[in-house]
Amino acid sequence: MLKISVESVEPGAVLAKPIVSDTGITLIAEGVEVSGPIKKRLASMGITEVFVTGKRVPGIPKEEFVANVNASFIKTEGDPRMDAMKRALLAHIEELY
Amino acid sequence: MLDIERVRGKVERTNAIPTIPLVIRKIVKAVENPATSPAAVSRLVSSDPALTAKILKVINAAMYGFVARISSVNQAVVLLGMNVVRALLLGISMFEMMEQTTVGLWKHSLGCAIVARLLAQKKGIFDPEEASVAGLLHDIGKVVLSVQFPKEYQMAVTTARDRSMLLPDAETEIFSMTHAAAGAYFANTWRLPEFVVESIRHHHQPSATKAAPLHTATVHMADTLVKAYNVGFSGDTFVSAVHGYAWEVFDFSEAQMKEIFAEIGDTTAQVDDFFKNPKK
Ligand SMILES: [Fe+2]
Ligand SMILES: [Fe+2]
Repeated sequence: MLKISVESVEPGAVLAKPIVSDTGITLIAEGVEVSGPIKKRLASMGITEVFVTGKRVPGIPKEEFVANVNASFIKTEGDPRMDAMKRALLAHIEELY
Repeated sequence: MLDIERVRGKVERTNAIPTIPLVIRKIVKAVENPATSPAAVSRLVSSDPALTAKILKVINAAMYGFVARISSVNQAVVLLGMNVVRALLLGISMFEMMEQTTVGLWKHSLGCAIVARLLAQKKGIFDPEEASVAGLLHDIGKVVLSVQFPKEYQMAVTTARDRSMLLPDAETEIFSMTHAAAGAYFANTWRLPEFVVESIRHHHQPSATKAAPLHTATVHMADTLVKAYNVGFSGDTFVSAVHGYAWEVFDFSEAQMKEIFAEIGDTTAQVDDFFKNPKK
């Protein structure tokens, strides 16, 4: 599931969470394809971002991402909490691809 | 090395920069005066529709996680208060001025604003909107220094990279001060709210402030997380260790940090999107 702006929803993407009004009424159900007309409807409701199913494809290859992280953390090696932060980030990257 | 008083003087006289558009000067001048009414500010801003669109876009992105909540300058003033809006106006116009050369820094700052808000919300410690503003402006000193000393600032960035130094150390060698100090002089000259000035001045050393420790710790932690994730480019190649005081405030476990990085991941995509569609 990913949260993106309505404008950048790709054709074929479906809602991973329903659109619910302030009073709790479901306006557009989960699983509905975010087609052109649906986008217009969302715009008329003032909704600019939605949850859709699928995984985000990061803009850079995994190896590059990992290499960047390793390079960034060079100065804090051996600091236990910074090492934990780095491990947390690498674990997150592992799940992205 | 440049003389500290000379640097300070130029940082504090940023209103003399010829490239600042007239409308921005008028606005900044007007908002500087505490007697100016919110309506007068929104009238001035609204006289430039392109500027209005830009400002609302940044406010919605930074303060409300891209959910368009604010649709007029007037509403922004009502919801956020004059002080916050004038800080935003000044910050946005400074970034806009150098749009081309500092997209990386703009992204870093916007990312930091969004993450600072997220952290403030998670801890429930203070107004998330204040966290966003402080996050958005924390590196304004880099903008000011590179507007006033373009060659020297570029040199600081390349020196830090080539000699594998932390950026503030390279800045100190050249300017006799860091971007944190420069930003604080600037913010103080424009009489931005105290929590903004303090979190700019001490965002590398959050324990050094008595006036706004939580804001500063939040910006410090957000800055580190965003740098670690490589959202945009702050000019600094290396992450520095989070300060002990900030760890006390945000005693995240490794699992919690992983969750936060996942949220930052969503944010990065939105930030990229924001810069890809400038007309939106
Ligand atoms: Fe900084
Ligand atoms: Fe920063």
